[in-house]
Amino acid sequence: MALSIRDIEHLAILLERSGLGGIEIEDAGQRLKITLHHVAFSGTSAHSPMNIATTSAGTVVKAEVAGIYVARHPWRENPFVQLGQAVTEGELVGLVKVGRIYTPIPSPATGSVVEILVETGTAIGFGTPIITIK
Amino acid sequence: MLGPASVQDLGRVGQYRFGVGTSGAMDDIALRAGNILLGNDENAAGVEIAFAPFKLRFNADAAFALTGADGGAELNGRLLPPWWRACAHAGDILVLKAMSRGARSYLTVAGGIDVPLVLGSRSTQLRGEFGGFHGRALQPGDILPCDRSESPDDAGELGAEPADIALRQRTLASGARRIRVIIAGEYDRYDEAARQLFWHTDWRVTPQSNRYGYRLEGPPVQPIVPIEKRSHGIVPGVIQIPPNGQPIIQLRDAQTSGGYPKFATVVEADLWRIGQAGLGSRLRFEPISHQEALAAQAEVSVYLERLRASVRLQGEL
Amino acid sequence: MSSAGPCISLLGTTAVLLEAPGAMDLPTQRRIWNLAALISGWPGVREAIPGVTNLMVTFISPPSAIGTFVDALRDAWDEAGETELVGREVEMAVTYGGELGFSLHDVAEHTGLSIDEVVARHAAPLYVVFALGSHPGYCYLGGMDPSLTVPRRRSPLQSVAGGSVSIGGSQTGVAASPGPSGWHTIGHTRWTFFDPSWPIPAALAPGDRVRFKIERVIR
Repeated sequence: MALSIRDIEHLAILLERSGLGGIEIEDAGQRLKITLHHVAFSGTSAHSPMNIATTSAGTVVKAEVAGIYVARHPWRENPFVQLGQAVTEGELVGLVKVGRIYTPIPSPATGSVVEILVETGTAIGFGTPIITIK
Repeated sequence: MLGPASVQDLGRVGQYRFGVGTSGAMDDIALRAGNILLGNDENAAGVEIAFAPFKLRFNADAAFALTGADGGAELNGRLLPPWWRACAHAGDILVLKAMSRGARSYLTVAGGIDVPLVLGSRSTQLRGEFGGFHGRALQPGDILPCDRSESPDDAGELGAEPADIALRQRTLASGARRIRVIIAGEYDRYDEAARQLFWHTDWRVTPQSNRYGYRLEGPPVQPIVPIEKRSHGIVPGVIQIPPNGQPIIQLRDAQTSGGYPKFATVVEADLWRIGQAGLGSRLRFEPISHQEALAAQAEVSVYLERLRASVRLQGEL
Repeated sequence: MSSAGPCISLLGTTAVLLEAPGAMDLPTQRRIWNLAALISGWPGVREAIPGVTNLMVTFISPPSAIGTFVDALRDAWDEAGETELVGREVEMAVTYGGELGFSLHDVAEHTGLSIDEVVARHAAPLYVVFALGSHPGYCYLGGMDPSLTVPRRRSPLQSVAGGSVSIGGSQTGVAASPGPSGWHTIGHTRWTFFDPSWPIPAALAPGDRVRFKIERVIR
């Protein structure tokens, strides 16, 4: 079993996305155990619609993928959204950086940004609340 | 303006013996990244855009990507992030409003721009007037054929980390771009003062710069005695110094041979940085060894491999 | 034979250049042709392209030990024989001088020869195609009268017409298509050098012979 750090990273991402808490692999006397600290959001497959929760406080946008939260593209001056900004459903409200890619966080609803719950550059897991829209 | 828009792939290799140069994307990494985002063959042809505003209408639904310089692209008025894959519907309008963070943007489409292969490549041979779109730069009204046979249905939006960030270079206090080179054949024919002048000058990219070559401006660099050489093969990246002492970096559409003395050659790993250097920007050259140049190229390979892996993984989920 | 070895230099990591010692003559060029045929078959080599008494070798992927490659190339040169290439002979009608041969007067002035003498000496030899390069279909011709030697331009022109007959240093050739040039244009021909749809896209190959026929001289 020759696993690189990258393979382990990928395994961890796959676990997060599949909603599993961890995995143990044993082969030729070597053992690899990955345990995820973020609680998996059960019942949501990777291909389900945006991971959202609606409460009286508004619609909370949650991360669909584990990675680094990117509130502003490093090449652009302005963040995707600012507090109080009106957004429409589907509008890009941020990115999650995973490896060398940026996955989009689209707004699940039309409304205005009432809360930004994480700072740019923060490591987030599957289901981490990011923004509240009302 | 560094030139028009043209169809380019990674270049037409193996045709030097007929006097045919490579052509190909000035920023090969950006073209590859766009194709990786779309799941295309990395050598699929895209459109190299060296000016803005640039406007395009999709005649059919298509996944596309924009990489390279940030064109501040808008799809039907919606601002897209740089290095971004998106899907357009028939009738959608894509506009690149202004170039920043580089000089050339690359538009790639799922399946690639479907122009005929000529001598093994889809790149435009501007001098020879063949390849690409009818052997010429694009003009308003042109309709680009796209290979629709392997287009994914709806891949969704996705971004790639720009090469400029992943392969970041330490910045110089003067703001000049740092370009790594390997010294070339006639380096020994310049005295120490001329060499120091070359290495310590922030060379300005003049308006006479395009896909053929970049003509630079700075204090004249002269050899100990004038050099007149027999014509020999050259490759993109060779820095020649004609008798006026002002260096020329030969690039993708350059002549395949020349006789002006060669001071150095830009390493393969930094050619894309030249392609992204706009008019008026400044370049500072730094000599490295052959081994260091291979290591630099390996870094590029690692970046692309990680990008491929990230995109593949995302696609599997 | 000259005892001096060839000069071998790097063109970044993608190519290596070998420049033969000695004169710009046919025996040296025959040795370059011989070496090119040999090196083309080496593993990792994409192309071995003859230039004017020199050879550029391009790689599929750069050798990790470049020193070893350079040594092998030097040894190959030392052992190279001469390949006699005798191709076809073609005649090109040339209009010397005028708008498309705008440097004819400069060349006359620089060489101290009359216009007629420059034209006569340029059209006299049976030139040998030494190499292809520069742009699609362009041929470097060997055999120019050394008295016509004129240094290249201090700074290249942005564009000259296709068919331009030019002198650069001790060499001469004909532009196969419009483009930039650091040479001095003395005439023009309508001959076709290149077509990408031909099975072999270039009309001429190393070893072919070219004769310029004086069609007209515009003084």
